[in-house]
Amino acid sequence: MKRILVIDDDEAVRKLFLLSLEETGYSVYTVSSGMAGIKAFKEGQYDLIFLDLKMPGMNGVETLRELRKIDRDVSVYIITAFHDEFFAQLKKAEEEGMDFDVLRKPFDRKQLITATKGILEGPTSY
Amino acid sequence: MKKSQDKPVDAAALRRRAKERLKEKPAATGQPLAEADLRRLQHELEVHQIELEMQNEELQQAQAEIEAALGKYTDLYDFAPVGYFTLAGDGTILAVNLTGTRLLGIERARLLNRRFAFLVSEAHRPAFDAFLKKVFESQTQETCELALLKEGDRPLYAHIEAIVSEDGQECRAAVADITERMRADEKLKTAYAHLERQSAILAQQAKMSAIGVLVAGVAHELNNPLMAMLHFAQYCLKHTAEDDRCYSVLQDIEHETRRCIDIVKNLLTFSHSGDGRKEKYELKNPAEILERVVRLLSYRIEKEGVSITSHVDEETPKIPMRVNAIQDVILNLLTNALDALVESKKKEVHIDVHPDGDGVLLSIADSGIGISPEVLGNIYDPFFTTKPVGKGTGLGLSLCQSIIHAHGGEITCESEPDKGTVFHAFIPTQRRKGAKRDETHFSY
Repeated sequence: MKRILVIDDDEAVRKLFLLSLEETGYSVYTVSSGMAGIKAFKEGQYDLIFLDLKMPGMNGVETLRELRKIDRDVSVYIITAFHDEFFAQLKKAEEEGMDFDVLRKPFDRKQLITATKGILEGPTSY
Repeated sequence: MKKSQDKPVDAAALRRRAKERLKEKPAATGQPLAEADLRRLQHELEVHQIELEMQNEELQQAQAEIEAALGKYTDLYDFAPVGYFTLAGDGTILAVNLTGTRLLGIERARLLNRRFAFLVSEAHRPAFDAFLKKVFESQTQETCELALLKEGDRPLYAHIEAIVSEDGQECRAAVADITERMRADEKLKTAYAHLERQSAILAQQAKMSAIGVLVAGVAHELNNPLMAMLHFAQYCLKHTAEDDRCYSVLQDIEHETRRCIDIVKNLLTFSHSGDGRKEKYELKNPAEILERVVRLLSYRIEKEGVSITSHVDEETPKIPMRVNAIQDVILNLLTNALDALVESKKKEVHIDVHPDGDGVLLSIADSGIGISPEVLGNIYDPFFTTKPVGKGTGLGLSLCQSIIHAHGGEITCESEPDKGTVFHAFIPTQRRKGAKRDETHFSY
């Protein structure tokens, strides 16, 4: 079964991921910080990571850099409402050759399921 | 030195009169005069002649002095640095000095016996009439400033000081040219108005900037909870039977949450930190965007029975623009036009696009309810709206204005209540320097 890791400091966002992806049948795990995310990723296998950009402590870009040190290929969706301050960092990460997609907030249930299935089962499956 | 012209000395007539007077004198005794008497008489005559010559010299001297004084007076009067007018009670010009004639560019003969009021610009005539009345009534010096009609030229601005004569029959007025001062005043006023406008713009920008920061903060905070609510409602809908009484309520929750999300999206667009990615400028024909927006609104246009006509000048050039931003402007203006038509019988919108100077002018006119003059001054203020709750955030036109300003253009509005409204958006073909400054405040 495909496994998804959600890294977001907002409890409401973590919960929405759990509820909205429930019907897809994927296993969804959630953590509330970049540190906890890296720890979880080291301990388990994941096929897709949803990563919040703006978090206290280690932010999304820093977390992505650490994740890529462990695994260059795992799919990562950066969740963002586009904050100026992170955009330059995201661009830099892209220039460093780090791979990621961007899921723009706010998204609804259908958009989330489409995006998830698009990564895990190929774009034509949904 | 000229001789007195008033009473020319007629020598022959004088001699005649002298002879007549001599005849009137009592006749002499008729006895021949002795030699001694004759000599005495001759002496007396000689003395008398010298006396007369001396008197004559004195008279000539006095005459010369008078003429000199007159010359000096004439010089003082005619060449004084101000125009002097002597006016009768009804304003008739009785006398005028040379400076006065030069000020007006009208010769003395054409000024005398004319009413001074006819030299005053029409707009100032009532003021002049009141001034003259006051001068004759007050006995003290009065002043006023008027525009005078100058022959074949721009009006002359004059400062007038006048006082009535002792007998109260006439008044003397000194007229000084203050045109230069008035022009300087005018320039000063224009400069001041410009400064005031600039400071109003600066204040508005500061206000927008402050509101922008506040709004962005609030909007970002609301983003997550609203998105979560949307997902929760959608989850519940998924797990509720459609015939359940809760189902439609859940749909309402979903709908209202989406509305909140849209408001937040608008707020973020409005505030400067909405979207970190600034849209790039592209060369596009505004008519193309216009067509897209009309298509977007076609359902509503048809449903509400609005007739849309448009005229796009074939010469309309492509202009550098942020396509999505300009699309937002057109969408906003057109939506406003449709909103204005909801309650009017005549439902017409006319769109016009044509080249205008160094840019393109896009006009959207509706035959709707119009905007009252009181409201017209506030339409670009953020959060200002006349629409009912839920129909408008009051950000649309504020957003349009900041977008058009960021493009270096101008947005203007003309409106007549119950007749309709037209918005003109001008976008220059060349991006202007000023555009950069606005971008620090707004997202576009």
